[in-house]
Amino acid sequence: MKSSTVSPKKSVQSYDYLDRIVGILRKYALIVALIILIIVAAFIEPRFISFQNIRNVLNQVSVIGILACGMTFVIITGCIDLSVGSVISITGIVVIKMVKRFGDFPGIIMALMLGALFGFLIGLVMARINGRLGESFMVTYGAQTALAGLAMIVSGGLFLMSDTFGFFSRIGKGANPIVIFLALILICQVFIKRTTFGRNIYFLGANPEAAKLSGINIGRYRVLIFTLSGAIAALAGIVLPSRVAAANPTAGVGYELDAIAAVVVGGISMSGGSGTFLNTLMGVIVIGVLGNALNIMNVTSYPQMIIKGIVIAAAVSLDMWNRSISEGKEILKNA
Amino acid sequence: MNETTLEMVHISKTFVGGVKALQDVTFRVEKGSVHGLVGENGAGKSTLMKILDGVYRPDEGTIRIDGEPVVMGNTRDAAAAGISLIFQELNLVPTLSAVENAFLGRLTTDRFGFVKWKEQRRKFVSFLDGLDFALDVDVPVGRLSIAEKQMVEIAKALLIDSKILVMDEPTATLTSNEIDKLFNIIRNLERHGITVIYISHRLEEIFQICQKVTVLRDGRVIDTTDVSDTSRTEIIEKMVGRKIDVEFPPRDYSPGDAVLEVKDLFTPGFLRDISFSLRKGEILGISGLVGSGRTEVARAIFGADKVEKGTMSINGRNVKFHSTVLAKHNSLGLVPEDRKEEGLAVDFNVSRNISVTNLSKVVSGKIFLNRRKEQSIAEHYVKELGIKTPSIFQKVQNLSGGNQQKVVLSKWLHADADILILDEPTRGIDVGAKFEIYVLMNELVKRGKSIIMISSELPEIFALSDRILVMHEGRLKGCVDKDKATPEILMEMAIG
Repeated sequence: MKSSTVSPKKSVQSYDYLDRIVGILRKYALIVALIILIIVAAFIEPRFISFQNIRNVLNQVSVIGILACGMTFVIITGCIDLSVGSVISITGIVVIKMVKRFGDFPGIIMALMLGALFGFLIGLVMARINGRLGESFMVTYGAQTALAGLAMIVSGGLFLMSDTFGFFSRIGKGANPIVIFLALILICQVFIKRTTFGRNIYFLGANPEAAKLSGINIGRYRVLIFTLSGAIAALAGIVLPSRVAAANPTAGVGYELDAIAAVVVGGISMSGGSGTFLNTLMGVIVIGVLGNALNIMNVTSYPQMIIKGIVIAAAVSLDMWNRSISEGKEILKNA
Repeated sequence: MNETTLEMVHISKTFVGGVKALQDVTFRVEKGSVHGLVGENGAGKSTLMKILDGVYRPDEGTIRIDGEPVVMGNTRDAAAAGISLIFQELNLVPTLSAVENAFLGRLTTDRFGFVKWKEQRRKFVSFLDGLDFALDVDVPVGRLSIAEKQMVEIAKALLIDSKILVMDEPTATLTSNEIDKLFNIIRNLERHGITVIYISHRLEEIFQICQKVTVLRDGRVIDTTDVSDTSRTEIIEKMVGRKIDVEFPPRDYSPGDAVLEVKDLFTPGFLRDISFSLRKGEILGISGLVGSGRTEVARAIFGADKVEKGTMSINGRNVKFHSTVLAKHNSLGLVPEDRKEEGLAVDFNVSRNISVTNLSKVVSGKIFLNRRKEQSIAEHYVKELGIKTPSIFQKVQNLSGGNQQKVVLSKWLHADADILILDEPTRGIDVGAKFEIYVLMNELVKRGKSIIMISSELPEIFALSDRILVMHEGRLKGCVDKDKATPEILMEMAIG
């Protein structure tokens, strides 16, 4: 928001100036906090800023990061997708089984298609009922539960080991997950910012009724978004078992919430219509760095959970606070 | 009864950024009177009332009630001083009954902590009787008519001993029957010594109900007079600060062949047997009471709602009422009644709101947006329609109602819509901007577009329409030619 450059009173002007600094701090509070965190951690343990450690952090968060990309699409349209954790579990099992049976590429394609199919079905339901955030919560929670059961049935409740050679086994090795994650961020960013699809996705998220009355096929976009989310979840479900060379039917439990947390911590509003994949990238990195820094500072895992929880709640509060302030300003301006 | 009850003296208010919302405003209201407050959007009416209600604090000036200076630190202070604001969007919980709403937040309980419903209901009913309000107090408020909801709101305010009621555009969504009812209520309040400050864009109402009227312009009081000493044109001139020769631009009417024909349109449970046609270059007015099905006709034609049966043809070609996407491809465009909720994404800028209906015009390749094309198109419409905005990157939220409406119109011009359906195109828009919208509509039909205009404002219907359809309870009551139409005929048909 540009403030007026010509102000009649000096006091008003200085108020503007201070206001702007506070505004910037508020808006980028997250980045500021991240920088402080890195500095503190680097003081305690200089190896924290080593190449090796940075790679470690990124490696740890890459699966959540991939998942967060799909979640970003869903959240921008003003919905949420709780099914993706279960999609990871089930595609993990399916990809190992199918790769063994049909070879690397057919197996991977089949897993991706399966994830997309689950998303497609969820999208169909959402489009049919013209659902928003609340409905998506319950529809995808239902899908999560059903797919968790299906994962158990398909696997027989057992661990599955994968071969340690071949293309599939290399996907999760070394820096590959990081490359996949960063490439996905880049592709998604270009898609949402530069294409007509992206533009319509934002419009749908900002005001579904206005989108419909502007002649946008909002049902088709709902289906598209959930299909994308399902397919991207399947990608995460391929990277994860490849990295650990095994799959289990509960491997994805809780991942969906970590992905949502990363998106929200990155500063994307749950009300839809705004946010970019750079926010998502930031959020994912913050969550990764936070965990890593706490490890380095010898904070044990239970206090870590408490801190992480507080950070997530704080991120949402900060967003709402920012919004109420900027709305307040707008009201003043219009008065 | 010439005692002054409210005095706001030398009120000034400057907002952050130097916007002078009010400058040395002095506003006096007599006890037990109905005092009109008029002015264009942005003239300072709402700021003045928000200062009275304690939402804002004035930079300078004092407020006196019955001669006593009061400081309104917040809305609670204002309520304690006997001031209640009744907004356009009523503050009622639709799922609760009138009694429950009236006592919301002030429920009295017995010693076990249970609410004394019977006692409160009795108190409320006798209170309503005293005011001559006839109202079912037990059904959920959501099932009451808007006029009845306003009764609840007024009763709620009077229950806490409000002496001054501020009503902001209370008739905007009322039918003319309901308006009569509301005016009876207001006259009744006068008798009880309640003072009403009445804000409205509809000047004829000011003359009907108010004794005095204050005109605000650009944050200053232009004049306060008895309504009997002034005229409609005089008030308008004071509001806009210039002489207006005509409120409506002249129309020349030379319609061509039928471009849109609707036959036997039915929708589930509401619209029955709607048939009409629209000619090229015509403005077809749709009149009728609020709730008579006018908006539903628009939405059905535009593919936004389910249609039970019926046929539609555009330029002689049969088309389906399938979806808004199809409607757009058939060169239909809808400017909805509620532009903020249905017409615009208010958080997005002007440019994005205009381009959305036809992104294929702003791409290079098949799907990649071309920002330069998009912006030059936005610039084009800002210039052509005279949209007042600092830039095309301004959020539409920050534009005035009239300019927002022009953005919605631009969307459909950008989509090359030939048949425009305008639902209440000038609702909540100030006089000057209204005139601009009228000129624009004339210009569009001259260029060969056709317009269906739904409106509750009879003067607008008369001045602009070539033919007038009247609706009543989901049916088309008839079609009247412009030169045969009189307010009486239309009202007769609209009431049924």
